[in-house]
Amino acid sequence: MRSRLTEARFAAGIAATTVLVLGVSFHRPELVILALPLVLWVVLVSRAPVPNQAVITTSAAEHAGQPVVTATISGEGEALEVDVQVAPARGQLVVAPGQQITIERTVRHSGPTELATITARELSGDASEIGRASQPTLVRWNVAPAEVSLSVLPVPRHLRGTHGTHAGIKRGSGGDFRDLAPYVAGDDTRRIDWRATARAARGSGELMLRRYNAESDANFTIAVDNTENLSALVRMWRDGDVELQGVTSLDNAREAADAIARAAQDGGDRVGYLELVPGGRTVRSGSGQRHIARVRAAIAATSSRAQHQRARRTPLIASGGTVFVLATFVDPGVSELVEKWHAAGHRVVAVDVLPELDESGLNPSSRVALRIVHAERKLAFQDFASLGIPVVRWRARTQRDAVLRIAARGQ
Amino acid sequence: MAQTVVVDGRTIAGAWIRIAPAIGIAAMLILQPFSPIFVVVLALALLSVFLPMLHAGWVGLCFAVVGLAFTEVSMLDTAVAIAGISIIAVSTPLTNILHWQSRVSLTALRPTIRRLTVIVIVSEALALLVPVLAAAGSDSLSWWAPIGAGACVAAVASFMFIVRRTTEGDRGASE
Repeated sequence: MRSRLTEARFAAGIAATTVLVLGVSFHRPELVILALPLVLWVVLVSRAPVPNQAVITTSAAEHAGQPVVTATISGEGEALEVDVQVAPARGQLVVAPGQQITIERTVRHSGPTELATITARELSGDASEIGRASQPTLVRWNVAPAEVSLSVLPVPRHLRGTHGTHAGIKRGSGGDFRDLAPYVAGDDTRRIDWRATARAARGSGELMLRRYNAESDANFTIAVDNTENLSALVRMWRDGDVELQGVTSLDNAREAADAIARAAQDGGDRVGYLELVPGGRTVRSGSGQRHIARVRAAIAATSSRAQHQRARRTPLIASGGTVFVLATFVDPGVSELVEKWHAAGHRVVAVDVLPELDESGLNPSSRVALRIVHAERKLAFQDFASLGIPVVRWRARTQRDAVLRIAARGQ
Repeated sequence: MAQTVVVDGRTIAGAWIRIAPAIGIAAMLILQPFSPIFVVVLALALLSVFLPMLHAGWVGLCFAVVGLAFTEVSMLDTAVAIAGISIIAVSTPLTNILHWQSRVSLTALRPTIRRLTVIVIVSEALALLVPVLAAAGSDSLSWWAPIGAGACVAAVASFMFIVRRTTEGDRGASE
């Protein structure tokens, strides 16, 4: 592809001709020579490579808890004009092909975040020729929530597995003492209780065996209500940009879900994850490092789906487990779901993720509306208390740990 | 949300390139006494800084040369004017795309700096020939200077054209 006579080259040519004409008209050779730089420039830039469309390669990683975007732009031109948009700011760079750009972001919220939008175009011949702008490359990143440690989780009432760290209800080994039983062929002779044999033996040769419960793993399900994302500033609930505000209910929910998942992993238990919206993200119950990594990735990817209706049917969860329902309980639908799961025999823990509210700047009608919301939440929590469902306020750390400890002890 | 954008390697502010054509024009202005043309050129230089899309840099350059036509210029003046014009030539197209707050990598500017160096060296070398030729003979001989300069430019252009064709031929052969 050959170089084209671009606007800048044409303008330089006209300027050179003007200077030449002036020099000749005034019989001034030293003026004629002034046209030389312009002519030389036109000749030199016409040899520059013809720009094409730039190719943007991006990657994102986490460094010291904050996302870092690395972008490399390649092209055939001499330089690249790069437009980096990091909402709401915008920046322009001119780099050489293959040069690396690093964008370090400080984000306020966890969850899916648009880190940067990058557009590039190639430049050639001192920008006298400009290539086509590339398609905008949007770099997204699921920001992991802050790590919070939970010392104890309330395990299900009936543990059915045969491997784990909790005392189960099935017969096995490793758990608490269960009962004494006559020895049958094939039993482990090391478990013969000689004292009991002496006391309880009724016939010759009948040996008594000590039997134990199996150690079992618990099954935890984390259910997140992501139909709304409410910030602390009540006046911004209706049409405020959540991104520009402080901690939101979904930030709390992601933090709580991540803490529960890690606590379950530490206890060697099974954990599943689901979003309480139709078509929401679901991770089936499982255990192990890779599974927890999957669950944590799903938690970090949880975003608000305000436009979605709540599921008409109660979501199916693994039986005989503990369900943590992470919600603001502003919507009565979630409270009904908690009660349904409780009625179905699951152990349910309600985790209230609504941040500490700032009620300043509200007009009278908004105040009335907020009072109704408070009343509905209070009624829901009273219903939970009457059913024996513990309510954990996530932001109140002391209360949170105390409630979880009491719930775990009362199993 | 705070952000830091870092380019590997050294960068300069785009504002320096934005004002470069004005610096080039200013270099020619100091050669002239105060005149109406001086005011016009100064205005065009400012215009080239703030509204580069109007190509005021090129127009300012032409006016500055008109101003020079009415002034007696020495060899040093010519040298300064050539440097100024060279800066205008390489920086004016860049001003069209650069924002004030942009950052320009020095690695990306290498081809521009290389071109500027070639232009300045060749032009200044030829500018030295003009007074030498003019001083060598009669008035009629002074006309050999522009003709010689034109011939030199044509020779350089032809040489580069041939080099380019040869390079393209080599590339085609290797492909």
